[in-house]
Amino acid sequence: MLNTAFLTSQEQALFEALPDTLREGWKVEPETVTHKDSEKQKKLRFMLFSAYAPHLRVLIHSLESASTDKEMQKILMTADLKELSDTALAEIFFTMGPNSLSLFIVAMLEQVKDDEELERIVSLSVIRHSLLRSFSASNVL
Amino acid sequence: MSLDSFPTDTAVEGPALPETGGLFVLRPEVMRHLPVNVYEGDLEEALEQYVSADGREEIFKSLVQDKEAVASITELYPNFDLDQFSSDLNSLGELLDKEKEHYHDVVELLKTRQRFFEETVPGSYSFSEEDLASRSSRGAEGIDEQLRDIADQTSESDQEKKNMFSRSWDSIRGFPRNHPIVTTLLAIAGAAWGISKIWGMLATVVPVPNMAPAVGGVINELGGAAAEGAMLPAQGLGGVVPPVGGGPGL
Repeated sequence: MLNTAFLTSQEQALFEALPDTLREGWKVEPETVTHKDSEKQKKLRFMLFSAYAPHLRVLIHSLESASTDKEMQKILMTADLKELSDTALAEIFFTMGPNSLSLFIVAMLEQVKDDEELERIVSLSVIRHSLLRSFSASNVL
Repeated sequence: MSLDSFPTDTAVEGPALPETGGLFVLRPEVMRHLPVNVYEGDLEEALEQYVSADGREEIFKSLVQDKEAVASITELYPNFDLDQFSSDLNSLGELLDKEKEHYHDVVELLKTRQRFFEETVPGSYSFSEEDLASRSSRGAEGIDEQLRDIADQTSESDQEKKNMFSRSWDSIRGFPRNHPIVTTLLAIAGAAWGISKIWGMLATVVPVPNMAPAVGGVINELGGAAAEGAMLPAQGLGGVVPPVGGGPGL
């Protein structure tokens, strides 16, 4: 089981405000890596997006073939990540970038209720940590 | 298209490949079938070849002659068209040539992408020797099998790290299907693919009010990139992004 989150100071404050019973068993490492995402970098990531992974392709094609807005909304609302491979998830998270991911981590910390949700937050923080390290090792874009 | 008619003029205009956003040629699954792959070996050297009109012509000729490669790409993208592909190649060359800065940026981002994938999905860059069509026919099971083989060969510390990311992906796969992050992730994938309507409806399909600011933040954070990077029409984004002109959006 994952038990160490990489959190920014703002996120650490939110974590510390959680009930003791919920925080029990979880560890926090400070997220010290920062990265300023440029418009150019974000744009290039969208250009590089690849839908090779079979289930990701199926999902995208179903969105693409939706004939009405309602149909597309239904697909968005009922889509499941269960079938997506690690590669497919990595592809989307890379396109998303660390800053957007941070928005979700904060929002989720503000309303987390149980260990299962906390584990998902920890997972997102682990992925963001890797994104930040990868991005910060780049020369300026 | 005959080889003689390869358009060497770098100022190519025209639509992107219809089913895809971004520069088709840069997609790793396409690039793998080209004789010069920017994802392998010396990236700068590889991109120099794409900057050169002669270099691009060589790459194009090589692809045309490689029937298996064309068949593999066509299997993935049924409307794959060599004319459009040559335009796409020239668009890449034009952009790289126009401003050296772009060339540097593409190299840097490809390196970044590689670092992230190598860490979070060990083995994801080890597929290059296997024929893509073959993998495709084996589907997800084939890929999982290969990932397991690669995992068996990794060291203990690598294995520990791999397990951490593997558990992270498993946990993320456990998000409930109507969770705002699931909706948003799929919308990002759709927008990157070039589905213009998707940002416009994202804000209206988020069922958890408390998460709406996060979703709105993502729309603002990525809306411009989605419009330009995936060459989307601005009207599809519900006014979130400014209008963009035609042509490739690097």
